[in-house]
Amino acid sequence: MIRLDVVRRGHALKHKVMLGLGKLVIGADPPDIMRILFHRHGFFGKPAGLLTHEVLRGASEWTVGERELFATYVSSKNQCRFCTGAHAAVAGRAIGDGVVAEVLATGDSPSLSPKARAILPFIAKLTVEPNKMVPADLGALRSAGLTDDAILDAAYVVMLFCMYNRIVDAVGCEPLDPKQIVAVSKMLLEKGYEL
Amino acid sequence: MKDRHARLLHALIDAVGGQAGALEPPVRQGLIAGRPTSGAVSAFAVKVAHDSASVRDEHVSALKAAGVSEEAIFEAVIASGIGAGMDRLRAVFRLLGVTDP
Repeated sequence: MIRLDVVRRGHALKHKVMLGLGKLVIGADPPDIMRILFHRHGFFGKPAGLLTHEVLRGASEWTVGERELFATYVSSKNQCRFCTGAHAAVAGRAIGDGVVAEVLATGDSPSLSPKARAILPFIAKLTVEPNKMVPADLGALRSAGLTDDAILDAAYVVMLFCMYNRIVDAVGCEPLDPKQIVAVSKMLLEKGYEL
Repeated sequence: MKDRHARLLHALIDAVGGQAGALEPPVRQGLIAGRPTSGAVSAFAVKVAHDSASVRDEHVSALKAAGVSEEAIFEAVIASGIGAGMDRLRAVFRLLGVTDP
């Protein structure tokens, strides 16, 4: 349950209306993170949404499905149930639920591209042990043909979800229920993250 | 190398670190930079950055009981979340030779 009343209820009229419309569209309460993003929208939600949309939906050597998989994998490593559940569903729509489940269970899947398979261990280490990153960690990525831009794009996914995971945990967002997951994953895949 | 996302990253950091709010901007900027100042709010923010899954209602309640406003707690959570993300990004900036924002 959201721990801050200002996040639960403190929204401008425009965003109160959007939360109400979201409830109609989803047929359930909007995800708790919407209340975080809409609270003082220009302080965090607006600029965070713009960056997130560019990183996850903008031009990149990674497919949208791969980037959503990376977001899911980071969230899983951070044990964030809210983000893992939501983004596993988005990634599953793009690349298949079986591939996502395999990566969450083993950290790998033969169904992925060689480049995606090469960067998953890098993402895991960067998420859990950022202070132990060394130049040798780039070796396997270079061998797989990854460019600096591809590595940096993946690092931005790690940055964003290490950020979101902590925020939703600390504020107390409830994991999505099955009805929310279906509606939200469809919306995120089709519309992205700009609010 | 050129960081294609730098403009939007700066916009996020500037908004959270620079806008007027319940916490003084240097406090939020310190959390984003991974250099928290002293005090109860910063101690909570460090917990958020390093072990957010362990945050419980009572941690937030204790801050409120000590007179910390909900807006200040909100800002500390957001800034420390960004700080944790930036820790990861800076590590890759160092590996790739990207200038730290």
